[in-house]
Amino acid sequence: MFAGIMNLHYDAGEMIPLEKIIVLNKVSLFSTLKTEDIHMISTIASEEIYEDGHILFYEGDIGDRLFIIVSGEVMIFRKSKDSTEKHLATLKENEFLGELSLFDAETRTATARCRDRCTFLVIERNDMEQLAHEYPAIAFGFIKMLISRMRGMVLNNKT
Amino acid sequence: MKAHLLGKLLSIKPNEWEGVSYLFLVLLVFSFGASFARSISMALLVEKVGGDKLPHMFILIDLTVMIGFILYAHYTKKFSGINIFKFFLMSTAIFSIIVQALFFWWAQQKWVYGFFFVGFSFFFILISIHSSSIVASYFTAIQVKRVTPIINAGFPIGGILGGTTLFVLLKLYQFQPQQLIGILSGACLGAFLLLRIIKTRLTPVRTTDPQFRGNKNPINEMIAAFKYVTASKLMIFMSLGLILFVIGNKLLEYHYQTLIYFEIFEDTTERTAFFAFYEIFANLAWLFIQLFITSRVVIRMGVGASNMLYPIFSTLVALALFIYFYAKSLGHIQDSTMSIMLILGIATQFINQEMRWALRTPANNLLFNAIEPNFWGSHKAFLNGIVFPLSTFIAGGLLILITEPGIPGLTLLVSKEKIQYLLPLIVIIVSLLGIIVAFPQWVAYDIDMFNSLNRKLFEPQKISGKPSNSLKQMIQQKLNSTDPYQVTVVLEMIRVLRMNEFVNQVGNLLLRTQVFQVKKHCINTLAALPQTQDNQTYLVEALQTEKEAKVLPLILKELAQFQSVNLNDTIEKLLIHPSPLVFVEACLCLHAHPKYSRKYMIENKIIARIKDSKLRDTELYLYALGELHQAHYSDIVKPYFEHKKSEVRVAAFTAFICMLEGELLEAQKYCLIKALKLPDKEIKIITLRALKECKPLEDWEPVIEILGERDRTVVTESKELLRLNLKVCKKILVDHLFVKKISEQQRFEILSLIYPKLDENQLQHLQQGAIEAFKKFVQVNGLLKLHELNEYSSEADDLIAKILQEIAEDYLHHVLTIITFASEQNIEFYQRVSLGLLSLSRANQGNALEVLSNAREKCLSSQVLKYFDERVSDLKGIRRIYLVLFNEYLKIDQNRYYSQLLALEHDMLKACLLYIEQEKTGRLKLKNTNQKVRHLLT
Repeated sequence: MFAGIMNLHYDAGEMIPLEKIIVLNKVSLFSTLKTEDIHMISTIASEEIYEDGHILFYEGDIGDRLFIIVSGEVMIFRKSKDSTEKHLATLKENEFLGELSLFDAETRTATARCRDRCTFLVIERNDMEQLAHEYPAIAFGFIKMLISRMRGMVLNNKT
Repeated sequence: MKAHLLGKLLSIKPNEWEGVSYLFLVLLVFSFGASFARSISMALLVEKVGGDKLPHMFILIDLTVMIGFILYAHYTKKFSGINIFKFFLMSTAIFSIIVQALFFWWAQQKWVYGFFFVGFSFFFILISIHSSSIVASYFTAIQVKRVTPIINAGFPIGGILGGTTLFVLLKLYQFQPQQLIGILSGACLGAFLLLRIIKTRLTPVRTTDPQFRGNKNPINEMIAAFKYVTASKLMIFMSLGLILFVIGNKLLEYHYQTLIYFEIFEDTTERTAFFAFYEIFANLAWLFIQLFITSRVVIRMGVGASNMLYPIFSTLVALALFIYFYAKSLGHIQDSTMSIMLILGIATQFINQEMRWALRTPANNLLFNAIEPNFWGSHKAFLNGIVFPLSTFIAGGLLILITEPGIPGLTLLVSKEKIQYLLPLIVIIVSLLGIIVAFPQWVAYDIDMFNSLNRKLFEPQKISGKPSNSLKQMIQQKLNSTDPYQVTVVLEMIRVLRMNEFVNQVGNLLLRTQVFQVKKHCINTLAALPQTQDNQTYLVEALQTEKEAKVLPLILKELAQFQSVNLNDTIEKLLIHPSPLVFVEACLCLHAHPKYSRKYMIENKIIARIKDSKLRDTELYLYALGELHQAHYSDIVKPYFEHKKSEVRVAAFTAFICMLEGELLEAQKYCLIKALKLPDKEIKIITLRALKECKPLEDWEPVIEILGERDRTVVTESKELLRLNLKVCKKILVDHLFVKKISEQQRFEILSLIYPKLDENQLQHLQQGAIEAFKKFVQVNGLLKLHELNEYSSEADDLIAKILQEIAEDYLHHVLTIITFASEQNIEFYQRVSLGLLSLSRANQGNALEVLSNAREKCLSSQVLKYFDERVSDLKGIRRIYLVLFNEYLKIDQNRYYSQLLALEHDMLKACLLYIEQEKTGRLKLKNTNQKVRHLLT
């Protein structure tokens, strides 16, 4: 935890608004939205940079932030009963983690750790809620995306 | 070049050739084998069993087809169309091998020939009907109009080739007909292999939805289908049309076969020679009409109208027959005028037979466009398995009654002379009815086609369930339920229906329940019922016993309406309640009571709470102050208009409007207009509602601006205000429409207000604007293709592509807006067609084009139709379609790429271009850019 704080470069602010839009447009979560909606989302997305090894969140933490990977890799793992780490996935550029925390404040189901020096765009739940309230099209875009992912999961389970 | 010419001649697009060719070949190969089986089965049946058994055979065919269609309707929901087609072909192949073996071992048995005739006819009917579903599943609704006649031409061509080969094999190579049955099996296997190729190379556009694959048995499936079919207006009119068609068709067939030709060609050989000669020319004519006329007629007239042509033709030919034979019976025409009779006979047979296949069948099959692919099987089964045999029975019965002696008490036997003009007269009546039925069928088709567009997205789920036998009993039962959801639902019912007889049950429930939601609904329900001593008593008792802070304000709010009861002392005690909500409701309740004297004290208490910065819930106290309707407090709320918290701003503004009424509101109009520019939609809604009470504005700009907002309620309020003042603001709206740069949403909303009031010149101007917008749409699509070809790769590429796509969509929306109003359609039409055209599903896009082709506005619709129907995939294709559509060359190339993108005047696009330039040169040129572009890049 302490190492994590040591490695934090908070709110780097190196990305210009257009770059944020370019990144968000490449993320599947937002790709179905209109460019103007993505522009709105870019206004609430802050850039954060973390060094290798930084823990973004621990399993069991309350989640209220969505992380979009601009560069670097993030490892997702879970602790097994014998306290060993079980690697679940490695997320790369333009992928995201913690999307469900945009809608509820449930606990994180796994731990996320930076593998390299990582740059993220981070969206807070409160900001997203406010935006979705003002621009229902954005909320609708999210619903569509979540439904299509749910369908995908159902199909995968069937096959 | 040859393929291009052929494509143009046959109205086939380059990307459709593969599908058209394979499906054409399937039908041709099958028809080749079928022509052998058809001729051989008929010849052998007549020779071995006797021609007099033909009617029995027809009944057997009808029966087997009816059973077959029950199974067909069931299995079309379970299996894909192509698998069913493969099954039919394989079954026919096996059937013909069995028949070949039977001919070898039991050639002396008569039943073998009957079995062959009935069995082959059964498979032939099923395959020819199912083939149209297969064709329809591989093309969109709009494509199928063009390609069906070409693909179906495989039938006559295969028939001609098969007939000729059969003739050669019989006459030159001395084969026996019985030896040639195997050819049908070979043809079916050939078609089967072609279907396997189709399955691997082509993807169906319209498929059955697995969601609707039921698990009922065939009979139940058929009953369900019957209920569904009878609930569809289109199917009812299609069934009526089919009955009328079959009756007319059979009567005419009887007329020319037994009355005309029999009289002209008395010798059998002569008559057979005439038929052979007729078949050659009639088949060629059928082919010509099918290839070059049918699709053009259907495209030009539309599916609904082209279904009227066949009954019109049959009316005309029946009219000619009637005039001729009636005049003949009166002695005006001599018996020697055989040539006229022959011409009439040929014309009647041609309309009855060849025009049926060349025109009626394709046009009628296209009506299935408006039916979900899931129901094609059951609907076709219903029409061909039930309606068709029923119609044949009616026609046959009518003919027997008219012509056959020996049915005592029933026969209507009339002389041959009378029959000659009586039958055409019946056909005239039947065909005229057919024309009449075609009108509502046309309307039903257009409606169903429109509904089929994105049906799943728009249609709400139907709630099924039987109503309770006793509503009162059911309500009482539900009120005692332990499920709070059921209780609240039933309370809502009592409230909406104002069922006063339940006041005691609701009151008791309020006093005993512990569930907040139930309490809340009980209070609302009691308040909604007529004010009586009963509901007042329950509310007062609840106020005195209730401990929950959440419930008290609800009771107070409702009690404020019961001004006959004086509870002021009880309520005054609640002014010191810790809950702000209870305090506010108590204040309002007391202030509203006519007998309460210390109203000024209440006002001061609220104002003190507003001014106390340590307290939260400022918005609540602001609302409360507004509810007092005291205009002199308006200055107290004004400073909160610019509060950092949106809810406080909204509360302050709501209070401000509440305080001002009539003249006072009029005096604050400037303040209201300023409020329209605030970001809070709630403030906009309140302001727009308040402006309705004022005199017309001088400046309508902010109100028109709101027409482009995303929130529907805000837009509707703004529209309402403009509509109320249309006499004053029409000119400004027209200015916006033609002079100013407005969003597509604004254009739509403005047109919805003033379209009927525009003059001819303005309408023409609108049309011209839409054509220009369509040009731009194609141009931007060209730029998009050019962008994809761009060699320089940048991070911003995807974003540029998306922006270009959105700009193109905007132009398309402009065109669709004008089409919608010119066609006297509504926003639902506009939304469905837009969604359909921009959908990634080809089926949906096809449905949208079909709906557009039925729209009243033709000029723009046909342009849009041509463009989308072309399905261009590269810049070359866009250049070609641009030239075809606008008769000018598309000036887009790599040299002008940058300047043409800039000319689109889109801030984000411009920022992307400058960003790319910075990537290339390392320099960011912000000169001559506006603030938004600068903001995006810095």
